[in-house]
Amino acid sequence: MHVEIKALRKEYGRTIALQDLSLTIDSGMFGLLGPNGAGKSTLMRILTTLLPPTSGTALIDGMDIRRKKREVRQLLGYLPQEFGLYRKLSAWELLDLIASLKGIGPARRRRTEVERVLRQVNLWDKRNQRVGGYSGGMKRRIGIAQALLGDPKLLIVDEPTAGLDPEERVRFRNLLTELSGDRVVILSTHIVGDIESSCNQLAVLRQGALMFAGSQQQLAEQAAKKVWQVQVPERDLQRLKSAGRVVSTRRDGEWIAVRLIAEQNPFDLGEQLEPTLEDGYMALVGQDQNGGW
Amino acid sequence: MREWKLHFTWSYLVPPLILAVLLWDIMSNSNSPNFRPRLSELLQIFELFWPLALALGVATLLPFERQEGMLELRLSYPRPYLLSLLQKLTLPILLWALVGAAGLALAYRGYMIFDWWLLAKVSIPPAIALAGCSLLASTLTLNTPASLLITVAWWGFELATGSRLTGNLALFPYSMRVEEIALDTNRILLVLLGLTLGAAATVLLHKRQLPAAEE
Repeated sequence: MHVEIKALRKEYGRTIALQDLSLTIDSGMFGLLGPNGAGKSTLMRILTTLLPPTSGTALIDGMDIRRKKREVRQLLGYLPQEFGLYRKLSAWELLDLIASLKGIGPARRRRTEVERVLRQVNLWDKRNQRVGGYSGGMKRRIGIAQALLGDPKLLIVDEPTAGLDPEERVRFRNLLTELSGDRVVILSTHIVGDIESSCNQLAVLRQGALMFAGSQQQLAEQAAKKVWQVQVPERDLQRLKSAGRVVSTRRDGEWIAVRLIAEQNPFDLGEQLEPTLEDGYMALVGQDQNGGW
Repeated sequence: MREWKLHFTWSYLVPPLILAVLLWDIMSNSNSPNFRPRLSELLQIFELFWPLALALGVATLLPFERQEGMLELRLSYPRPYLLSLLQKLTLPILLWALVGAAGLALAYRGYMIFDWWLLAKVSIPPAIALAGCSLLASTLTLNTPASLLITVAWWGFELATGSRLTGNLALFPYSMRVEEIALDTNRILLVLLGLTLGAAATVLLHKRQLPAAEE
């Protein structure tokens, strides 16, 4: 399985949501990182054939998303960021309906498939309960279950851990990693932690442009020799902020320990640190157009 | 069947119930010695209420996915949305036909001699026109109350003005006794209007894009 994005561009009137994006994605978990408004959801919707690109295209297993919508949809499992479910139906009825919309038949095969995905997301015991009564975490799980129907070769999940508690979040990430195997799983998020624990390859988008594509280590290296830890009294914190981009702060009595990214040692007070994935991401998206902070 | 279960609401039964009550009222008088069955009475009921039953059923279909938050997911599945819509349309049409048939079976007892062709001519064209309007309104607004309101507004306007202001596109010229309108021409125009509105809704539905991505 292979996804090839070629000079993809999307404009909404005068707003450019995606700027001539080119990217290659192979089997396994692929992370798509970027702040809000970076163009991640637009890219997802184009790949799922829900939005036509203004120019450029993408090939999914060699099939052009502009010309082979139906065939692409047959390979696809999609979980959007925001979604509702038919509240009147039970989980079983809902998934059975979706399975038929995905063209899974006959009825016996559909039943087997629905049972398989319900067990996979641990909702088998709740299969006869109306989905309108499900908790947020259960709704996310039924969301992933519908995406898994038909054993799709390409799984696209947009901000899947939003609104989940920490335990559910870990469980969800593990489930996605288990599922990756020989399929492509594209995980879009603005939470670095979600990517860190699951994706080997990733891309960073900002304002519709591709800022980075590569491995976690390569992203972390974007901040090499630029990560500093400085201990300052609280009154000097504002002055320190002008020297770089603050990644985190931790109070330690009267002092504040600040982790920041800066080209040079801030006021010669800093201790250089090894960069993490989050540092690399902050170094990339934190830069202004002139390369400053 | 799952799609039918999803879309069925008790509101579907309101216009057919009105129709049933009116029919019952006519029939309950049929045993009185002064009862003189008049076909025009029955045709009026079918022209005025039967089309509304279909139009109101249709109005709920399209906005449903959006209101349930399922539109984006639904559009990502391989089965064409239009095909599902046509399948869903069979529910209000079936209910409409069933109630109509039941009403007719009841009425047949009182009238014995029946002009089926006249009944179809009087009731089906306004039903197609109102259903087309309802489909287009729901495609444009994706909102059930708004599309219901638009459809009922047209129906109510025709009722209130006695179908005298819309010329050859009058919905109820038979019941309102608008003599200057040629019934056959009017019926053909109504069917064409309904089909055009339905086709416009289909084209719009096909071309509709999801709103700009909010991230």
